[in-house]
Amino acid sequence: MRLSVTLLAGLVLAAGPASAQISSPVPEGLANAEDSAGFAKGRYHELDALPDWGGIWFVSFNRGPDAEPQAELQLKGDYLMRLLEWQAEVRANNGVERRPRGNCSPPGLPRIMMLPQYPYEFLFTPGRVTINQEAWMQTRTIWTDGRGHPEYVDPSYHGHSIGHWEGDTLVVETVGISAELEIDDGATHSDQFVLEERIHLSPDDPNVLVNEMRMTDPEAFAEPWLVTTRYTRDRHGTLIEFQCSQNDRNPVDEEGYTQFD
Amino acid sequence: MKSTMKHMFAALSFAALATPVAAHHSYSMFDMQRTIVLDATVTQFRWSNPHAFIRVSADVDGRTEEWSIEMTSPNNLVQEGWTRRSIKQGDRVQLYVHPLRSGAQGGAYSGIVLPDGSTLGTVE
Repeated sequence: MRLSVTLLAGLVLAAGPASAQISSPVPEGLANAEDSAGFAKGRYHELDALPDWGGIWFVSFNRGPDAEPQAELQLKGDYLMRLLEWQAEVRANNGVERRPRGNCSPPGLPRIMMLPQYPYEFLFTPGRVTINQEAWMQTRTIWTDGRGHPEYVDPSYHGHSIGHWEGDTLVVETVGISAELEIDDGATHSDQFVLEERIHLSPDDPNVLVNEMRMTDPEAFAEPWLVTTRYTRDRHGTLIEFQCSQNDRNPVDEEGYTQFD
Repeated sequence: MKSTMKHMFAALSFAALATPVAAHHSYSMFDMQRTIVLDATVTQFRWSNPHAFIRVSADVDGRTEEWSIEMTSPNNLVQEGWTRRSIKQGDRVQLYVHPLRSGAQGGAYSGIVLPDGSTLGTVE
């Protein structure tokens, strides 16, 4: 009897907030609440002016002789020292790497945009671009409704992205990416890290999407890091479910080494 | 100068470690420079993210060994011609594999000769 009373009380408590009005503030930088992506109705026709990014997209790698050279990440100070120490450890360990995170947790930005094997799709709705990533079934939101970054961004895997269209190029700026994430194997950044992206179809091939990334970090980088990633279209492809724990054969042990089941 | 050289060495040797397939996890646990061939019978084929997997009973030096072969993602394998029906339990296959550095009975998939003699991936 006591048990059922306790349960009932818990239910009432849980139901309480649902009946109250939920109202987040108008995003920072918007003059009118009606400009927000939250008011999408009546604006879908505007999307027809955007470029054709339909289908799904696979990161393409050109490692042949005509591959364009990619800049090396140039770290400085403590960030460089930690990278060199990590690399020395890998060499001393027959090339086997230690990892700071489990394999079932996503890499976050910017690495999630550079992943082979797992495709992406880009969805347009009024005021936002949504990137669905097959890998870890991640969803990334780029706000294109004119809002700015919040004054305080909680550090997270994807940070906070705002963007706008310059012709057929989506220009994105992302801040607030967690400094606990690796930007490259063994390399980390500070909380001053900013990712800028210019995403557009290739002028040479409409089935190639180009992402020109420019990354800066006054604390950790000796100079901006420029990376260009290309994606190849599969017009009728679909993303496949990715429930990592369903098929997790690669747990990471307490020493940070990937296991193999 | 000395420290610059040290950095260059680090960058060069590191580039050699990088593989085009690293995604869900690093492939550094596999010896990607080495390929072995397993004559084997499929005991399980798992077609799901983050990695498709083949378990086989392999004939090694007159003994039977149980091997686990990790593949790339299903969507990636589709690009190579795979479907979830490409192999099934009981099929006799030849698997080209980059073995684990640890010496354990596992490796990363490179290519396969199917029961009808056709191939997928890299078999050389």
